[in-house]
Amino acid sequence: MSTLTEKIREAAQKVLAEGLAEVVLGYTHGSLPYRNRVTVVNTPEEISRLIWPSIGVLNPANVLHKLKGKKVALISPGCVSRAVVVLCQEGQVKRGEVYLLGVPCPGMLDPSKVRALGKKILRLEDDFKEKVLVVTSEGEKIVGREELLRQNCLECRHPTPLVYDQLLEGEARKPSPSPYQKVEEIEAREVSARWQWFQEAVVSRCIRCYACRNACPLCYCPTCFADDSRPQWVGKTRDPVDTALYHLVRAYHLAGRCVDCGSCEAACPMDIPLRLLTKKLEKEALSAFSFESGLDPEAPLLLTTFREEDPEDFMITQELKALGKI
Amino acid sequence: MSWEPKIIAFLCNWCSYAGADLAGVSRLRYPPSIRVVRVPCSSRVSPAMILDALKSGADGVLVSGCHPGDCHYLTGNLYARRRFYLLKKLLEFVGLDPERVQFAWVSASEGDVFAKVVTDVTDRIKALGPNTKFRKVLRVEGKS
Repeated sequence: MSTLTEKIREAAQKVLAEGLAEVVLGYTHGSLPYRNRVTVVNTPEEISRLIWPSIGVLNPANVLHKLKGKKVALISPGCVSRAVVVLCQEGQVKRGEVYLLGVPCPGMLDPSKVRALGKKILRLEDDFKEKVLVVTSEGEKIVGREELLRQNCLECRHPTPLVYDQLLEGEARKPSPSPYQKVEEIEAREVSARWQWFQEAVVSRCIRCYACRNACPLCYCPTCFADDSRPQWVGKTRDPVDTALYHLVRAYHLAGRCVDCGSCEAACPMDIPLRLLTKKLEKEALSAFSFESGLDPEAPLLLTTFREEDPEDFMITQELKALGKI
Repeated sequence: MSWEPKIIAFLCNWCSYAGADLAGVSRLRYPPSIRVVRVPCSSRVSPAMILDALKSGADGVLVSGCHPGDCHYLTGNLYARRRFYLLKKLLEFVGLDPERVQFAWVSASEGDVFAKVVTDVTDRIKALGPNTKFRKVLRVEGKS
């Protein structure tokens, strides 16, 4: 048993015993070694089922709205803590109603990378540092952890939560030195090549199941723009233009909010690189507005504030002025 | 007859719409390419509205509002500026011709600027040709 799991159980017991929370939201083992569940527990017996998972692709903050009115302790690595902070900033969750049990996150494994190792994955033994022992129906393999990590963990800038009520001891991954490498690869292409990439990788694959939206902890609108019928922004057929519009607006609605937890991409049954779109917006928010989401519950959100010196050289009037035409 | 692009122009009620009006009463010449949608403020324009215009067959979209500091609602255009910046970057990223979506500041006294902006935007979109990428047409499933 990994020590992080022990620490989580111990801390969770304490939190419940001291009445700091009524329920604990964390991960338990699922039916398969690479599928762990987001679970709500509230008794000592149930707490002994809590784990720190090697693979936990869905963001537990997504179920917070179902637990309204209860004081919830949340097992929070960096991205979960940040999602809760954004929910607090947007008035969806009261900071006082959530107890953040911070976990210095060693990064999680990508289920598809693990599943590629064998026909049937029987067991995983993860030291949460360097190596993972994967037991498959064909035999055992020892693989470097780095090779199996999720892309968003490899690109994570804040593995250790900045906002928490209690931070467990442990060693987190180092913040990524090149979080935007994949985005820059696409940016370097020509306009037509980027359009082709968008069509092939995103639009043509999408079956519009909206799993990306449903898995997102920050997509909580009671009626999503995609479900609006008057006006109907997104047509109901699989027309590529509608699909493209859906993906653009979905990503845009997460501008300055997305915490890059990777739930959308993990939930996607068609392996669409959804994170690239939100990551691009994250990159722009950081470079143009020095903004990162989910770091401070008291700070304003990216799009609910402005600065006088915000960039405007993208505007045609500024361009014409620079050319001396107006 | 040469092809004239269709451009949807979202003009804010307080500055740019009046600027367009001034261009008209001053008898300034500019291409008959724009279809004006009057909005209360440039920040009323959401990305879905811009993309919907393209989807519905527009060849370009122009969003114009008051200069920073001139907003009738004091700060609406400053919020809009941030949003449009991000939208433009996202559209560029996915390879939608960035010139098709343009943003401008035009005040109520800048009829000449409005005419020049429309002329320039029209020229740019003419150079790009009709919007075929992001226009919804009847398609047979499985064929593009």
